[in-house]
Amino acid sequence: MGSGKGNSLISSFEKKRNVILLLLLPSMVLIFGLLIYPLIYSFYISLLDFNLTRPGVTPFIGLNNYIQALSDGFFLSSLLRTIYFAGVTVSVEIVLGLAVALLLKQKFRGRGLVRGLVILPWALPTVVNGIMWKWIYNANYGALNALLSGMGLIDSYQLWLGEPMRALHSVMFANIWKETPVGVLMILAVLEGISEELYEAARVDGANTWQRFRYITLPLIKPMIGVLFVIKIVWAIREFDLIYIVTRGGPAGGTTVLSYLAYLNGFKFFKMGYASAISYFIIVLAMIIGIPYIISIARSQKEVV
Amino acid sequence: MTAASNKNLISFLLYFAVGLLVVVILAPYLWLFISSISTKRDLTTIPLRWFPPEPTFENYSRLLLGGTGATDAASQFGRCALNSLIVASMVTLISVFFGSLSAYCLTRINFKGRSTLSFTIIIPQLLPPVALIIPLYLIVRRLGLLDTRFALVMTYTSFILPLVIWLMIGHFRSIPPDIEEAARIDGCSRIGALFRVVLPLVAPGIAATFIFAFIIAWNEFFYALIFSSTQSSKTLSVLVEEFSSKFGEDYVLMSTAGVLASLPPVALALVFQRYIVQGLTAGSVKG
Amino acid sequence: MLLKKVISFLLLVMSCVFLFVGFSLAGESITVIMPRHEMDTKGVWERQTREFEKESGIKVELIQMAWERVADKVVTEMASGGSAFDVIEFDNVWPAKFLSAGWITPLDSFIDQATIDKILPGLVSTFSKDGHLYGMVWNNDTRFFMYNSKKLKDAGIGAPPKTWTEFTEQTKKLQTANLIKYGYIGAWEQSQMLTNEHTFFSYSFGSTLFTEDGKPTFTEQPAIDALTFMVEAINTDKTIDPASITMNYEGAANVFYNGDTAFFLQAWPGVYAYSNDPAASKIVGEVEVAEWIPAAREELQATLTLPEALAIPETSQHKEAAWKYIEYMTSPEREKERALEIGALPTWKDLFTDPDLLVQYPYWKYFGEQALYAKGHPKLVWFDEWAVNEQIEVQNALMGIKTPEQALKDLYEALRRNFEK
Repeated sequence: MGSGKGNSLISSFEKKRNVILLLLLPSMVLIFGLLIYPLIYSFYISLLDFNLTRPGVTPFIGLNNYIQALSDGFFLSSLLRTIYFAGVTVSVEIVLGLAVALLLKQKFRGRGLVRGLVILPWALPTVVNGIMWKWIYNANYGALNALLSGMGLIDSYQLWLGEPMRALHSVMFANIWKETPVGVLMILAVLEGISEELYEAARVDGANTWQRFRYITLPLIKPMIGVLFVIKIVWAIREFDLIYIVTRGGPAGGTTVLSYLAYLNGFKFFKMGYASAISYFIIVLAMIIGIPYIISIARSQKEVV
Repeated sequence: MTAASNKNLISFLLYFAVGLLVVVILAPYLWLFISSISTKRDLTTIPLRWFPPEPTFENYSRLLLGGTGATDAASQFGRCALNSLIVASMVTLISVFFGSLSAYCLTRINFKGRSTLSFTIIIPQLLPPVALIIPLYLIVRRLGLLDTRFALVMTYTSFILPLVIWLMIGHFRSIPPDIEEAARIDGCSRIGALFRVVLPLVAPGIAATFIFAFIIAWNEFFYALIFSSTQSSKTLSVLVEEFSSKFGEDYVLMSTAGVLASLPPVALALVFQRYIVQGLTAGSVKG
Repeated sequence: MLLKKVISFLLLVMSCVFLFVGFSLAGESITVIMPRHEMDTKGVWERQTREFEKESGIKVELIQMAWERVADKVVTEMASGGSAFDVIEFDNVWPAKFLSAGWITPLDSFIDQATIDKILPGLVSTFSKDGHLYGMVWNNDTRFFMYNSKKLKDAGIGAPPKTWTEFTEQTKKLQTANLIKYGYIGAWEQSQMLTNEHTFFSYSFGSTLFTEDGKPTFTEQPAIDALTFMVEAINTDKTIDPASITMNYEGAANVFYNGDTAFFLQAWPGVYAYSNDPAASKIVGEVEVAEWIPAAREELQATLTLPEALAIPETSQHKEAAWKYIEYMTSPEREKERALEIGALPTWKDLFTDPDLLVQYPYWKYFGEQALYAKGHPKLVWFDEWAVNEQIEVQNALMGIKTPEQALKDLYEALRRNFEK
């Protein structure tokens, strides 16, 4: 080994590489070790005419499954529905999450308990959440109908799940109720980390509540909101259980989202190739939503060491 | 308006908002609980009985103690709860530990392709389970791990770890980098600075992420359904599903199981929310 | 490909070794996956399985789950070519697709024709193809017309309806007397249950939906009339509860148990017992089984049969043991036990005239009458695709988004590719 400046550069480079490896490698192995084969396999299947009812006959058909999907009206309407579902639920969940987190940051009696309770909807098993809402929406004996008619808000019992858009909104409401706590929890954790001294200093400088929020709180929670946005979009796009339990994609297909459509095609119609193609469309969709975000991360990361 | 009445108004509004929040959160859950101590007859009475005339805890004793007329699903409750606890704890510990390290690396160390990498790790999350389940099933079977808790830990980790990394990226990025720089100038190594300065600062975030990961693992359903068959690995979320036949679901039993299954995560959240607050003292240097 | 062969060879060797070890250590063991019988709240199936273990020395791993979940697990296991299950649930609409996938072992070498002839013929034909039997029915899920006799009596109605015209008249009469809210509530949410109900109505109007060789007839007049009847019943006549389109069977049954409807057109056998459980029902002692099923005209009467069978996968390594289990569990003796203890409907002809059973279940006499008109679903390889599209278009008609005629035409278009193959 030589000596001098060049060597120390190399060694610090190697050191940095080693640190990166040490920090990243275990996670990469844990994530991709198991998933790399399924990812490739399902992509490969999406290029085949792979139907379980015709064993051994799986001709390669290129992008035909994808083309077929794009020319299928039901696929396209499911795609739009998925975007609507994800867009609305995620926006509402983040705005609500922020509002509730700010509320729970205030000092009031019983704060610890309320903070613990906030997690309740999220802690309920998805299956139970679905069944619970299905009963609440029940047209004949549901609690929602009983409550609203008891308060005189509706004249007669309503079919909450009996019309496509209304059913979709009912499911979206159930989803928002369940998933908002995630945002609350994460934003609250960031808020808790902000030092009181910062606010004190701003108060001394004469900043009002809005200014303190705008110039201290908001910049610090912005990265978390971005992250929540990505994670929740990912989730909402593949929402399955709730739809499966509450409406089974009905009425008249009005709540069929892409992941449910993929399930129907793969597990019920045995069209594995087509189901995989639908699944990969979900990835494409997420990429389109995600790319502007990647660019924005790349930009802001330059500011960090 | 005097300052005092202004203050009273604000505190009234605050308590009103908190009250509203509690009602919105608790009402459906409370209804679930009431359903679990009612009979089906009570639940189909019009006008609705908001509380059963003769509340019964029979369903709870059936689930927890077996008892007469217990279905097969009921008698497995304890075992499945244990499986859920073991799997969820393992997954959470592994994911939060490795996830925090990786998230730190992806936020604080500049290297080529790191934003692409951050995005790549979340991509598998996007595929609906139906696309991955058959090849995954093949792997798990070839490894001889069907119906083991280990298979669930492995699978859940591969899905929950990316989420944890992302959340932790969010938490790390809310800490200004100059604190860490100051520590490193003071002679800390990078790893040293991470453990001594940065991690204590993100303690609230870690606590919140811990709760998050635990609950996802606790409630995961589809993979558990496919990979586990018997009591040796079956989790609570799968068991809860079994209170239904092809005609529909037994709402009363299912609400009982749902209340019981949601208690451990809530207890965990109540305990951990103290750590989220305690992070305040540790993080007082921030800013 | 080579890799695949090598791996499957290794697997074969491994499983042989495992088999050998398994034999020498603990005797044979089999894995059974199936749903729980909806009336089996006492765990009778489980108990009989343990008795089988004692008698045969074969160890049984019994996995009982919700029907939908069993379906998901079985498809995953079979599609990945596994041999984890030795006995599987085999539902009445699965034979066509499972058999073309080559997943199921024919039972020819296990059971002779004389024995097969003792089973109800409808149950045999549902699970047969080209003269081979593939499944033994363990749950004879046939649907029967039940009604609330007390309400009919209170309204001065002598006998339940024989035709849909009578159904409408009687319902109106009951509604006027304020005895019920609606005549009937169906399980018409978008699921297999709506497929069942729509098929039932179509049959009762004389449509078979498909010909024997799979040609569609569901765009013809009888099928249009059937759908029109369903649509008008919820929208204009108000004889059927409009909430039907959000209901599954449990949800619909609750309305009947609550006394809000008078007729249960497609009740499964367990409804009778459940309606007499005071914790769940407000109509204890009021339900009776009719001797017929209403239809457009009396001669068209039909009801649906949706039996579930047990089958042996081609990949099973323990076919002999698997058969022994199936044979034991579906034997007339075990079946009679289940009939006596939980009211499960038998599959053997003789049991329907068994004196012990008739004493306990006098109304089974009427089950027998109705069962003569029992029909299954059309046999289609792409049954599920038919079912899902059928549900969507039928709901379009029920909600008034499309006319019945248009809905059925669109259904035809959506499935065109399958007919033309």
